[in-house]
Amino acid sequence: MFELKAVSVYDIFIQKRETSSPLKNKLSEGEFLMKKRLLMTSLFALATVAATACGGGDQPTKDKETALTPLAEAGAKMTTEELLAEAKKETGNFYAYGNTSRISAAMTNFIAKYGTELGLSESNAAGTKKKDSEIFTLLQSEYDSKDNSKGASMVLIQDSATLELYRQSSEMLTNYCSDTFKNKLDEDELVPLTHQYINKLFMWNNTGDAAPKFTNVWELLDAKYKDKIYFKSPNAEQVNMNFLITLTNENWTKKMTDSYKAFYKKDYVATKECPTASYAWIKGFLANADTTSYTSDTKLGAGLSKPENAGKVGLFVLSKLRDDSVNSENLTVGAWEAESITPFAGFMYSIYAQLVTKAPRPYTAMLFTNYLMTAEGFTPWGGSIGGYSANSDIKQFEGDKPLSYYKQHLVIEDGAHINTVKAEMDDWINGLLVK
Amino acid sequence: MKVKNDAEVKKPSKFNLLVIRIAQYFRVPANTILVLGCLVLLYFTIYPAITLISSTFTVSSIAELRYGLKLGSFTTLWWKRIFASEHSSVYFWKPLGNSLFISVLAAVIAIAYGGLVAFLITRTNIKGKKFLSSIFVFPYIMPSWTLATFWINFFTNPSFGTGVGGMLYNFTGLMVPESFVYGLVPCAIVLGLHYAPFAYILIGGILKNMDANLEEAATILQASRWQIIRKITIPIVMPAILSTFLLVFASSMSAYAVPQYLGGGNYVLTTYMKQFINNGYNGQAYIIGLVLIVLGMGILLINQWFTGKRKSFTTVSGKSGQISYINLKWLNWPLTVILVCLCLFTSVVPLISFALESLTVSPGDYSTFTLQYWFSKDFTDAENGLRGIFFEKQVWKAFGNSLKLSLICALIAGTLGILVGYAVAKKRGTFLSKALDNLAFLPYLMPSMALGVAFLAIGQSWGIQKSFLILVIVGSIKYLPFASRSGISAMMQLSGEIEESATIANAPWWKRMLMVIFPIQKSTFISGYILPFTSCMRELSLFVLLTGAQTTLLTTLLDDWLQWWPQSANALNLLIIVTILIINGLVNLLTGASIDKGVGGK
Repeated sequence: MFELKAVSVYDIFIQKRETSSPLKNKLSEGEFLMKKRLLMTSLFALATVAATACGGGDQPTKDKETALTPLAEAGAKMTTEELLAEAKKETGNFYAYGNTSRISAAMTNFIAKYGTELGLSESNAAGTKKKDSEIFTLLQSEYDSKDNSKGASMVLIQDSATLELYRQSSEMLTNYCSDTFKNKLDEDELVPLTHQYINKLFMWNNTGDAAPKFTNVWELLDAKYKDKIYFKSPNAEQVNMNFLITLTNENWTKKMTDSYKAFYKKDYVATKECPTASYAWIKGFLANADTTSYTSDTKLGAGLSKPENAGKVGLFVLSKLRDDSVNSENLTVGAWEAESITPFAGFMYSIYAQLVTKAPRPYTAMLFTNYLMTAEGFTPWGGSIGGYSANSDIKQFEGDKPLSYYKQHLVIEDGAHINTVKAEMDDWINGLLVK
Repeated sequence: MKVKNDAEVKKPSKFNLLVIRIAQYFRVPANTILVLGCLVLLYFTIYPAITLISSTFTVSSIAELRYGLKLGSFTTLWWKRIFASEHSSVYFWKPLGNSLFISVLAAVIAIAYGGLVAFLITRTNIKGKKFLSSIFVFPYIMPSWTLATFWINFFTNPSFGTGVGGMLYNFTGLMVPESFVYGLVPCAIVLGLHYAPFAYILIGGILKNMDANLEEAATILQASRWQIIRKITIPIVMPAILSTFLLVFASSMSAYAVPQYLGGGNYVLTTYMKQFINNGYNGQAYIIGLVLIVLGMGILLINQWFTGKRKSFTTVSGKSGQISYINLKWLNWPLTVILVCLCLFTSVVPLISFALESLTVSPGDYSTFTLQYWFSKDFTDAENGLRGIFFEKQVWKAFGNSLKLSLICALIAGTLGILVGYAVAKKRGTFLSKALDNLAFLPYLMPSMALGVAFLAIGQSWGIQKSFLILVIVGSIKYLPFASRSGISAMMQLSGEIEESATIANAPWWKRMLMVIFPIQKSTFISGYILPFTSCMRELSLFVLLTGAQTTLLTTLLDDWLQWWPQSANALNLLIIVTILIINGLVNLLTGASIDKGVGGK
């Protein structure tokens, strides 16, 4: 209920915006966007109140209807055998895209299990990694295409904010969650279906005498960290941008203000450019961070773990430690230290499983989604640290901390907030990144 | 039987006369080709430009709804944001400044380096001319990103950036400053080295054919060697220098791969355009594309105007048989060694670097060694779902796509080129002939990435974006100028009597083309097929915005891999370069053509 109400308010806002051009004429673009942001935040807050008042919190979350929804709802009630029987009737290619490279290993395992029955092999089925900045435009182009026979049938997709925007503004994606898994997931993981969580943590090179040691994120703004923090450019990966934007929501603004006071022993004083402590931290962090040297977290992990990078810090995906090129013994994970980092030791975001509405093989896509939600299907991620299934039956890798631990210590991506401020925050952060 | 008199014979109406005239007009194959050719090319060159312009005023993607606009609605917001907002400096003016800086510096470097080598090879007695000439053009044969990725592999060191050592540091311990590896200057150096063969071919061609009498006359008048160079040689090659400057400048303005890999956070117009498209902010990307098209066309039109103007000067007489080489004396061997080292550095060392990097377990660490990124049948230890590239499905699929696309584009562009050549030559001097000639050359003036963005807008409106069809269309259009130039020059050389005699013998048009015209000029026509093929195989900028998951090409696959998986990317890079070199070698072998022919080559 919450989402439906929020969206309808959003739509009303958009219509209002179009008919209210005189307002924009009177205001500068920046002022207009600021007003828009305030209005959007208020509307989302109102929608939340309305949803709660209607008892929305107790009712199952409803999804937007698409052409595939009836099929997905029917599929949700089917057993694996029934789904398999339907999937067998389908022919043609079966492709899945993901923001995680391990989707290709998962697809290989799926083909090994069901390939013979479904007529799938590596020649007509594949899981392919795509950048999170490109996957939506790719899906949109396939959706708009007249012939989607070679398009994807399902996706494992990150960036909750953009996903929500696309889900609400188009019908290109359809949610599907088998009844088998509904009681294994939290309420807020059902729509859109959360497949897993990924965390990016502060890790540092512990070789040499100058190993960093910090317990408050404000310390990273110190001059001694200049160009010593590796962080993949927020322009290159949207979840990194989302992390920074999430820091500006109400909850994190308070935490950042408190941690500022704890570190500097004084209250934060707002400036025109940085109205809150969160803005000030983002600006200072990006000024010290090296956002260009590494174009992937795999490379970042491998490079940071080399003795040559003693004393340097990285904020990157924990699961990259699985890579052979990463010498994980040379890295210390901040979140695992006895005294963790205040107010956050990194950030966390979800990867969602979604059916493509124009899927060439919708039942196969449902079967694959179910497979990915099982322990067997989760093996490519669950076989090493840093992969956390939304399925509560699947535990984290031995030696890793549980999902609940990270939810307490990390910044959790806030898609609703991001969508209200994304346009102007992108502009501001892009301005900070310009050399 | 009643015979009709004159009065009874019904005169054909004006309409019927018009129909008869039109039918007669189209009975001549050259006329049909001219009309159809103009219509088709107008559609595929002017229409994309119009679509691009109109798309800059439209909300065309869901991501753009973030600005509070309605999908499909009219807006001027994108223009305002790019040119007249507080963000204009970030999104346009600063990248434009960077693009201009890189392009000017790259052009200067290309002229200085390429011109010097051309001078040494054509005007001095330097050793190993044939060898030097053939390896000097290597960087141009190889894809543009080759030198950029090699530059990082070679020069990076622990004092900056990744903190990891490259070849130079690992083998010698030497460290260069960061500004030499990442930033605008290294971008310009790499582009300058890549396009130096332009200068070598253009300047070298003139130097080699320059009338030796001019220099001899100056020598008789007791001018010093320096005076001869300053007062005679440089003015003679000045048109070639200017042409090189403009060509390198235009090419560098539209370069994407080099600033993407070496820019070090400095954005140029192309990299921002790609970022806008990635994020779904199409309107702003289309404006940048439009600016690039206007700049590209402007620069190349200036070039055409200038070279056309210089035609009245006769400085190259062809009587250069008595050319006197400057004796380098004791400098000969040192200069030869330096030049060979420089050429090897930009041609052979990159290949060694890619091979080495593809064999490391940890990038840059040559103490670790593995063959898995080449030959592993199972997933590699990088656990990224990739096998060794010889067993990786994605690679062979992309290889198949690249090969198929290159063949189709070459067939379409090559055949159209012959038809354009035939029609233009047959009806030379007519309005339609000139129009078709110019329309066929128009895509050459459009920067690759800007043409790509224009066809992205078209693909969106036709519902074929990210399809193989859109790649075929854009590839055929982009490479048509190569083929049409070949076609026109081949047909201009051919006497009209040859076809006339076949016509008298009642040979239909298609038979005349296949059995008479094509066999006579086959070598020129074949080059019209081969140039699009080889260019298509190594093209990235043109296709990078248009490929989808199932239409990935070798070059766009590499563009992805370079960001994520360095060892597999280096292996793939080497595979692409070797493929291109083999194709190029085969072409040379079959046709006897080579890029450096006429300068120092065979």
